[in-house]
Amino acid sequence: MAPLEPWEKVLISADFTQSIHGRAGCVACHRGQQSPDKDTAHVGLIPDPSQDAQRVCGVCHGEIVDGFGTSLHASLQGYRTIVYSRSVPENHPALDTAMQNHCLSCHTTCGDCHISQPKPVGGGLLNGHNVEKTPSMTRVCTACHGSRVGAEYLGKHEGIPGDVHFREGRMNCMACHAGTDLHAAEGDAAKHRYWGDQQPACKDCHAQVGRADDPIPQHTIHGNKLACQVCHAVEYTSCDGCHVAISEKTGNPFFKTEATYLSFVIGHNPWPSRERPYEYVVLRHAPVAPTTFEYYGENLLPNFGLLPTWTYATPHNIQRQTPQNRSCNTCHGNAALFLTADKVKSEELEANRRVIVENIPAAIPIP
Amino acid sequence: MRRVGMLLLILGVGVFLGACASQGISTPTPVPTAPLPEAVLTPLSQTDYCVQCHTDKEALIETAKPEEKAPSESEGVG
Repeated sequence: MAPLEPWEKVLISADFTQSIHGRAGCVACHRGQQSPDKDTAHVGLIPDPSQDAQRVCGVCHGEIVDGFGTSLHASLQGYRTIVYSRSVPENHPALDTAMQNHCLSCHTTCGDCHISQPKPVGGGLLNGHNVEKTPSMTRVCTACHGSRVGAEYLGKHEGIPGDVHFREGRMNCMACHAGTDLHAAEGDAAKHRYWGDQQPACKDCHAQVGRADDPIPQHTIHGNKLACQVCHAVEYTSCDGCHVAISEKTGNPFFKTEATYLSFVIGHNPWPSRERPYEYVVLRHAPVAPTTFEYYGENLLPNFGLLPTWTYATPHNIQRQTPQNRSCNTCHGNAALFLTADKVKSEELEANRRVIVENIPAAIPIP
Repeated sequence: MRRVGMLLLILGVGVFLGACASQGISTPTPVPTAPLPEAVLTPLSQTDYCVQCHTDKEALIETAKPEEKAPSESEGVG
C-alpha cells in the first residue's frame, strides 16, 4: 500500500459535502474555527472526532456505538488477558505502561475503518472523507492485519497459494467477518478472540460438513476431533522472542523480534471448549518470551509457564487440497507435522506441556 | 291565452336555470402574477472556509506541512 502525500490525506471530495455526513458541517464534528487562516481555523481542531464516538457517531448510530467498547478492535482486551495471565497483579501497572507504549496503538475508532486508513499505517482519508460502509480490505483490514493474515490470505508468501476464498471466490474480509461481529463482542469473546462463539465459523457456510449427506467421509470420520485448519491450512507465520524498549536516541518505542518463519504445526488444543471442542488444532508460535517486557521491570512475567507459547491459530490460507490431506498417511504417522517435544525450546517446555503431542496418531495400515 | 301560458313557462324555466347557474362553481378570473423566484441553495455560513480549503488540491499542496517521520528502530515482523 503506497503511502499518501500529506495533502492527499486531507483532500475532501466535492461529493462528500453534499452527502448526509458532509451536510452536518465540518465544525460539528471536528470543532476548530471558521477562518481563512489555517492556523486559526485549526485551533481546537479534533483530527479524529470518532475517538469520542458517543458525541459524534453515536448521535445517529447509537446502537452500534453503545456496544463498540466490547469490541476487541476498540478495547484490545486480548493483549491484557494474555499478558496478565502470565503475570501477577502487582506487575500490572508496569505492564500497562509497556502495552500502552508498544501494543495498544492499534486501538481502532469508527473513523479508522470507515473514513480513514488506520493511524498506525499513516492515516489519510480513504475516499475524500466519504463514509465507507464496507471498509477497504487492503487499505483498512490488511493495513493492520498484514504481516500474518493479509500475507496469508492474499498469497504473498512465495510458493504458498493464497486462500481459496480469495483466489476462487474473490471474497473480501467482510464476506466472513460481519460488521456485527466486528462492532461488538459478547461474553467471553470480549476478553479474547478465541473465547466464546466462533465468529465466523466455517460451518456458517459449509453446513453440510459432517452431516449424513456429506459426500466426504473424512469429515465424518474425524468429526469434531480436528479443527478445520488441521486439514485445510498450509504453512503460516510464527514469530519468536519479541522484546520492547524505548529508544535512548529518539525516545520512541520500538520492538525487536528474534525470528519470523513459516511452518505448519499440529498440536493439542490449548483451550478446548463447547465452541471449540477439537482435540487437535494448528498452533502458531507467539512472539512472547519471559523477558519480553524486561525494559519495564525485572521478572514481569513470573507465570510465563501458565500459558503455551505455541498458541491456537486460524491461518487465513485455506485450501481444499493440502500436503497433509492428500492421503491418510500424509498426516497419520508423519511426525514432522506435529508439535513434539524436540521442536520446543527447552525454556518453553513447561509452558507447552499441554499442547505437545507425545504420541502422534499412528500410520494407518493400507491393505 | 295559450300563447301567454307558453311564454310564462319559458320565462319560468329561464329564471330557474339562471338561479341554478348562479349557485354553481364560478370560473376564477385570471389575475396577472409576478414570476416566482428560482430556488437558491443557501449555505449555512457565507463561506465555509474548511470546505473551501480542503477541496482545493493546490491550496493543500501549498500549505501542507511535510511529515517528519523518524526512522523506525524496530526490527523484525510486528
